[in-house]
Amino acid sequence: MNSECKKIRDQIADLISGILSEPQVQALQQHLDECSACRDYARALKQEDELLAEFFAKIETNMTDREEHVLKAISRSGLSEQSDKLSIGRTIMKSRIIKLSAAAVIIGAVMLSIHLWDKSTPSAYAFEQTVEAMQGKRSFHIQTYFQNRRKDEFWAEYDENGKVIRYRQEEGKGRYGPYVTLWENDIRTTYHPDGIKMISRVGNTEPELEEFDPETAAKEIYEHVAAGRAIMEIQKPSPYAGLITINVTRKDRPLRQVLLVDPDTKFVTRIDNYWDADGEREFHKGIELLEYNQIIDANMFSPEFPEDTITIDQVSQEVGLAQADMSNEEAACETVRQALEAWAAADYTKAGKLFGGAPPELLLTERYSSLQPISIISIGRPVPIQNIKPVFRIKCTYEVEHDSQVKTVSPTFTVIAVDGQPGRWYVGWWIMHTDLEVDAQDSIVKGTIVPGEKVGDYTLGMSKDDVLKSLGKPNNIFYEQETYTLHNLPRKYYMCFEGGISFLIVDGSVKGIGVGEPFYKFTNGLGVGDSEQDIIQAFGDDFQLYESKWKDFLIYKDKGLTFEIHKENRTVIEINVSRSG
Amino acid sequence: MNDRLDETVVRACRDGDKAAYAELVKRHYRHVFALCLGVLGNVHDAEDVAQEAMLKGMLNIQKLSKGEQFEAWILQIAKNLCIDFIRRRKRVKPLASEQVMQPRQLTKENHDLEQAVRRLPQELRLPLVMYYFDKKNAKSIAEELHISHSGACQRIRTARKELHKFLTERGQDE
Ligand SMILES: [Zn+2]
Repeated sequence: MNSECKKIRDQIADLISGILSEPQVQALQQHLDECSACRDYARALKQEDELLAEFFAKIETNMTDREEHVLKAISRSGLSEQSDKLSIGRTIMKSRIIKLSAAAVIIGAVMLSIHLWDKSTPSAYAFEQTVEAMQGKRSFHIQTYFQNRRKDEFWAEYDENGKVIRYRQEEGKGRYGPYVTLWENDIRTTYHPDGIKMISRVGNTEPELEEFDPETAAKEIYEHVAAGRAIMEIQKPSPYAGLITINVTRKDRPLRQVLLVDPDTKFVTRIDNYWDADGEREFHKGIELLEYNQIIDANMFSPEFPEDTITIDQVSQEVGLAQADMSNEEAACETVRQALEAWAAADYTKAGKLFGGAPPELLLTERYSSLQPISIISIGRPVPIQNIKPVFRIKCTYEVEHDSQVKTVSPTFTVIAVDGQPGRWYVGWWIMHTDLEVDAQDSIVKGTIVPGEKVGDYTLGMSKDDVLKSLGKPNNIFYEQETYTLHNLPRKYYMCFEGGISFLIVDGSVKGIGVGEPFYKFTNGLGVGDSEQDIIQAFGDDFQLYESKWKDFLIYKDKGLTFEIHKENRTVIEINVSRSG
Repeated sequence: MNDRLDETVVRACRDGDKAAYAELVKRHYRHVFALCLGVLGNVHDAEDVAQEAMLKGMLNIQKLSKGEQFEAWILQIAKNLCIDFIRRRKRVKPLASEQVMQPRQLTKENHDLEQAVRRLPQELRLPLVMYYFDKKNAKSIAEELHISHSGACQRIRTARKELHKFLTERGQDE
């Protein structure tokens, strides 16, 4: 086929669509007279055009039936008026919550009649009512849990089409307070409690929120039950007074779920997922619905940050280094190399740009100036990190001047693809470094973590009274969704104290100890804030990985250790010590 | 003209007139279905999602303040539900039994054609469905998809050429 024919074939397609001008048609006709290949092509396209018209006409023939079907579904479900509960269930069955084959629908319907309808009470409750009640979310406020401990808190607002308008996430308790993430209008603001705020352009965040969306969760559970992938039972009597308890067991994976439903609103107020990891130990992840479709205070989404907050701006300026035709690995190395060189040359503007848009004053703060290079010795190999976007860690060796002495240091840098600026890379402003005292607070080590045994003076098996004697009043006592005081303690609970240490207490004695601050270290010097890589190097790769959207968990069962790893910077956020095995 | 009528009907719906929403269904269902068909490429999925969209529209009609924007609004709801559906479809692989359940009454050529239409990327399929099913010209396709006139022509052209490629590929396989 010559280039003339190639052009002609575009025109043939346009001719069929009737969008060719008169002179073009004439020129085309001339070519077709001379070229049999293009004639065949034109004939084929004409035939396909007829087939397409016929194909869509066939779909057209059922339009009236389809419309009828929709109208019936609509009249059954009723407009604003409250229809009887049975018809709500039916409407949902007919509406497209699930795509099922005919067989699956029949099986599903039988299952529903057995498991979803609780016939034993006069005011029959069916899970469809929950799905229905939660449909069309406009906002929610939830608390997430992992291993029965409070994790993140979310506030989210949606528009009438179910698209997220904005959200706020509060993550963990850092040394000075929680990490706060805000998102609205494709701009994400991440506030780190050590006084740094980063803004970047991030488009669709729905996949991140989806995991915690109570409306979706209820819908999905319904789908699994209807499709026969799960069994649902209403527990009688409910162990939680005033709430309906529903147990769901999945057939296709080792997962059981416990749902608590408010009988008045029909909202799911709590969902707990228990994954059976290895036939012995269950991993727990849950959400608690604190508010649903309530108006959220606008200040939640635009809080005031401290005046001296340093802003890293990736929205109004181009940051990092352009990848050009370099590979990801090459670009990562080049970015960190140029950043270090600019920093060494005291070109804080250029260095700041490569550090993701950090203002010069950030690099001039004490914590950074102690790491300012004077000469670069080597840029290490980039180690890729499994993440939703490309991230590399690179250990670099260079010389610094410290107390008027030249020292060699080897901190690890993180190089990341810039959000909203395709083809650009930047060096993360968090620097992982253990050889040098970057931050005075890090050096205050209160005690040693001994796996399977103790954290500092606190040993597994010691009494809760001894813990209280040593640490004073706890900040918080809770288990699952209940909070407690020292005067009404249950059998099993968590007790959290100032300084990021917490205890799992069962029958009055310590069964687990959590460390969320770098005040306690292993004998090898590792602790909270160190890198995942260092942990794996030190403790081996015989761990189980549990991934959540925001964090990963490295679980060393035989050592009685669990490390919680920050998704983005891959450092340890929390260490949990329990009996091994 | 149409929009003015919609405004009146939407107001009636908001006032609790149950029959009024049926009027909106009659006026817009076809359009919603065409959109779903274009995005999803499968008649059965399109039926399900289009129905869900109409129901969702009814349940949320109180939230639509400008009645004359009903069409754009309901199409947006349908589009979001389609995206939701595609996301789910990606996550859950179809069961073998569902594949067996696909209707077989279409002629073989039609079956091939159906497969080929389904194989088209969404951005090419949607204009094609609008052209053949909704009987729209390039100008109104461009308007509805917020693309240029030449862009709409280009997509229909590419859709034709791609379809031809798929159909002849298949012929050679057999
Ligand atoms: Zn030719």
